[in-house]
This record gives sequence, structure tokens and C-alpha cells, in this order.
Amino acid sequence: MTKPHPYNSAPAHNFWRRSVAELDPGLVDPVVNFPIRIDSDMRVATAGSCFAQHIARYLRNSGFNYYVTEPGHPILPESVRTKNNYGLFTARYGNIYTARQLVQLVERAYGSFAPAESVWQEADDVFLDPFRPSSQPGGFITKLELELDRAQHLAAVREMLETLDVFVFTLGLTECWVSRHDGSAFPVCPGVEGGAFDPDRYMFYNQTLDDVIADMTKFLMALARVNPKAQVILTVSPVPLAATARHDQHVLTATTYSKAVLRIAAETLAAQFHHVAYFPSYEIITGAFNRGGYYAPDLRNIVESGVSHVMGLFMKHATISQTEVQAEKDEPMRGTGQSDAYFEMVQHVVQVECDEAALDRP
Amino acid sequence: MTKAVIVGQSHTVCMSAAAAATPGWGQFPVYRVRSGDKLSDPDALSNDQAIDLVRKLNENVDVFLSIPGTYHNILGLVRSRLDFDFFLNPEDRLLDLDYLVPRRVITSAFDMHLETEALVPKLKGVAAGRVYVLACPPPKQDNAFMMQRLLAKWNKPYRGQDIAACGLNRPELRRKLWLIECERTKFWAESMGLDFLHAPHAALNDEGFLAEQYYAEDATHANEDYGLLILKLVASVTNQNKGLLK
Repeated sequence: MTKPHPYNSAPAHNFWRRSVAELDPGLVDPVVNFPIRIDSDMRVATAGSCFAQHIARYLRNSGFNYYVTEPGHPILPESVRTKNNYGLFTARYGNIYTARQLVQLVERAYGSFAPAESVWQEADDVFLDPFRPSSQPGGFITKLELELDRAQHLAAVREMLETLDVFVFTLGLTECWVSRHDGSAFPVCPGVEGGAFDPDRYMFYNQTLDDVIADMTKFLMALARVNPKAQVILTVSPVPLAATARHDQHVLTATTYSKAVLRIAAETLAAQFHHVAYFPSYEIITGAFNRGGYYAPDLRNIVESGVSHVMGLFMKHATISQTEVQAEKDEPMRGTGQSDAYFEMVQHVVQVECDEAALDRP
Repeated sequence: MTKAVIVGQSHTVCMSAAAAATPGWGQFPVYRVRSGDKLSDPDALSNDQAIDLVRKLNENVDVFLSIPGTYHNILGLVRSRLDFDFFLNPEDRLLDLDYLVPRRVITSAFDMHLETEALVPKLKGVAAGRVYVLACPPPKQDNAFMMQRLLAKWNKPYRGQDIAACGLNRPELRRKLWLIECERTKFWAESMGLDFLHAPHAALNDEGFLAEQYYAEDATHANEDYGLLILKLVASVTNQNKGLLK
């Protein structure tokens, strides 16, 4: 007879064989007791790296209140707004890869930080915002146009922060390029998507675990100041680094370092703050159970089946479906069915916009 | 012998009227292509009929198309809930505004609209002669005139917007949008090997709007005097071509 020990009574999800190795890959579900539940009225804002675009897309297509505070002018057809990156995220900030970028975005929105480098001029009539160089295709025609659009953008960021219910942020990278002058963090190395690289002006910085936790804590405190009810869902992008700036490192080990730091930071923050939760999309995509099947042939991009797996579980654990809302109204007991919205999700692959991929452009 | 035909949508009406009303100016057949169904517009050509017509023309007949224009009205005729403005040129001064639309966003709106225009490439594909794209008429400046005609004739929403409640946009906004439409249509036409013809300069007032003597009795169209200016433009271009060919 087996002697009692803590594992005797542990649930199935504690065991690798039962909850990972022996399951059909599509049935692996690493989400346990997810604390945040989104209903269709809650305003869900998104930001982060390329993978966050998938979350935005699924929320938008699943009947949830995907919150957009910078939708573009209503006179423009949606196709035009989409082409110009309105609605890609809640505001037109483009990819936010690092915690440093995120906290600086908030500081810029509230005027507590004004980067010395405010514009990159590429041609007589092409001006780029260094902090979202890809957001306006073709750039702005004058510095003034850029500044006016930026003022609108930062107002939309403030509106987002002050009025959202749930903020979903995908941590993407630890590696970043910053200004030597004032520490401004750029989304992509100057010279890649705009600007000109100058080693006297820019330096590479690889954030440590303490950096990420400190930056995210600063962000969470700032968010709480303007919106005490806001809840935050953190994810870690499963997309590997396109390139590392660390010449002493292979891109594979650099990726492992980066993702490990971000994963631990997310865990730490979720443990520290009751309104913060970690959703394990990283594990769903990178887990050995799928034998790499959720990666495209380039081993970076995520195929639709992987995104579907992640978002199916997101809908199951992090949302209250319309069916459940009705059931809650009709009966005291909550229904347990999977979200109807999940079955209506679009299946086609959407090419996500990823500035980082430009690092390896021939 | 016919040297040119004109094919287009509603802006051809003023040209047909001019051809019918002006002695000596009936040499350019004007064909209108319907935008809706046959029942609602039985006199106009279907797209297929227009393609057949152009296919049968020989290489000595120039084709003038008045087709993709007037998107500036869709974007800028009726005032939106959120007043907007944009820089047409870097040196522009903007009016007080609620919202700035970046220039390249506006540009892409016209480009994406033009990408949906399927008839012009088809006509180009079957035409043996040269094909030209005509600019749509310049916008009118007189908002009161336009509003009165809109309410009298339409009494219904324009492109889904309640005109009486919304009002019309500033004339200058319409003019800037029209200029962008001309710029993008020219670029689009030339990318297909077509020539673009600007609106006759004589039709403009000092501020770049359609001069009042060319107003049709509605908000967006020009009258037969403007149509005659277009016929003269067509004649000028065609005669120049034929001269060059000799």
C-alpha cells in the first residue's frame, strides 16, 4: 500500500504524464485557476510585441469589447484605417517590445518624460516617430504633422489607461537600444526601420530581471494611480528573437535568457499584485507536447493552430461567454460550456506586423 | 469618322447635354455607364456593354473615361461628427480642428478606393486606341447653394449621413480632397499607361473652386457649359494626337 505523500492527492494538472505527455496536443491546458474573467462589456486594451496582435484580433472577432481609443477618423473606411495601423492595438503605438518602452510611453503620455530625440527625418517629406517608426506607413510629411498626430496619439494613450478595464500586455524582449543622452528606449534599433545608427548616440542594453520587474512595477503603479480598478493580464511572447545584439551569444541562448527573464518577471508581478495575472501562452506554444508544431517553417512565427489553441484557452479561462452571462442571469449555478465565441473565431492566418523581423532583412 | 468616345458615369451627363445643345459638338459620342441596376437606370450601359463598345473601336479612336472620380465627396461633402483637417502641402496652415488626419492616411484612402475600380483596367485592356482618364469636376464653393439643392432633391441621407443634421464641410476641405483625388488618380492612371487630364483651368474661380457659371443644379455635378469645356479639351487632345500621328 502506498504511503501518503503530497502527490497522492494532487490534481491531474500537477502531473506531466497525465496532463502533458499522454494528452492529444490540442487538449493540453496549462491554465489553472485563472483569476481574471472578462465579460463582453469590459474594455480590454492590448499592447506588446507581435504576438499581442493575435490577442487583439481574436478579441475583436469574438464579440468582446476590444477597446480602441485611437481608431482613426470615422470618415475613413475600416480597410484604410487598418492599413494605417489604427486598431492594431488599442492606440497606434505599434509594437511595444520591452517593459522600458511601456513605462516610457506612460511617462510621455503624462508629460513626465520628453525624449530629446523626437523625430527622425528620412527625406524632405518623410518624418518618422522614433518611438513608433512603422505606425504611419510612409511617415509624416512634416515634423509639425508628426507632432500633432503624436499629441492625438498620447491623448488616446491617456484615455486608454484611464478608462480600460483589463490591460493585456505581451512582454516580448529584454534586448533594446536606448539613447545615451536620456535613456529613451526605441522599439527597434535606430537605422533599421528609420533613423541612422550612431554608436555615440545609441547603446545596446539588455534588461535584467530586476530591470523588467522595476519597469513593470512602475507601470503598474502609474496605471493604478489613474485607474485603480484596472486589471492586468501579462503574457510572454513565444516568438524568438529575430537577432541578438550580443556578439558573445548565440541567438538561441539569447532568446532563452530573454524569455526566461520575462517569464520570471511575469510570475513575480502576478504574485506581488492581486490585480495582475499571468496567462501561459508562452508555454502553450513552446511546450514540447506540440513538438514544435505551432511554429511556422521559419521557427519564429506562430501558425494559426497555435494561436487558436492559445486563444481558445484564453476564451475558456479568461472570459465569460455570452452563454455563460445568460446562464448566470437565469440560474444561480454558472454554466461550464466553452465560449461560443471560440467556435466562431476566424481561421485564416493574419500576417502580424513585426518590426523586429526587419533586423534580419537582407 | 469618330475620333474619340467618352465613357463614364454621372459626370458624363453634362457632356451629353453639351454635345446635344451645342451645334458642331456632337462628334464625340458620350456613353454613360450605370452604377446601379438596369431597372433603375435602363438608358445607361452595363459594364459589359461598355467593354464591348470599347473593344469594337479601332486604334484611331481615343477613349476618354470619366469614371473613378468623386471620392472626395464621399470623404468630404457631409460634415462628420469629428471635424478634421489635413496638410495638403507641408506649408499649409491648418484651421482649428478636432482631429488631424495624416496626409498619407488620406492618400491611402484614395489609393485603396482606386484599387477597387475594376472597369477602367478592363477598358484599357480592350481599347486599341489611347485611353485618357478625365478629372472629375472641381468642387463647388457655395455651401448654401449645395445644401439647398441637397435637401430639395435628396431629402434622404447622403451616403448614410443625415445632411440636414450634419451640415456640409468647409469648402476648403473639399477642395483639398479634390486636389488629392486628382493627384492620386493621375498616379493611378499613369501606372496603367493611361493619361490623366486635369479639369479645364477655365472652369476654376480665383480660389480654385468650380466657377459658379458651371454649377449644375445639384451639389456635386457641373453643368453643360462645363461639359462643353470638356468636349473642347477632348477635341484639343484628340486633334493634337492625330496631328502627331501624321
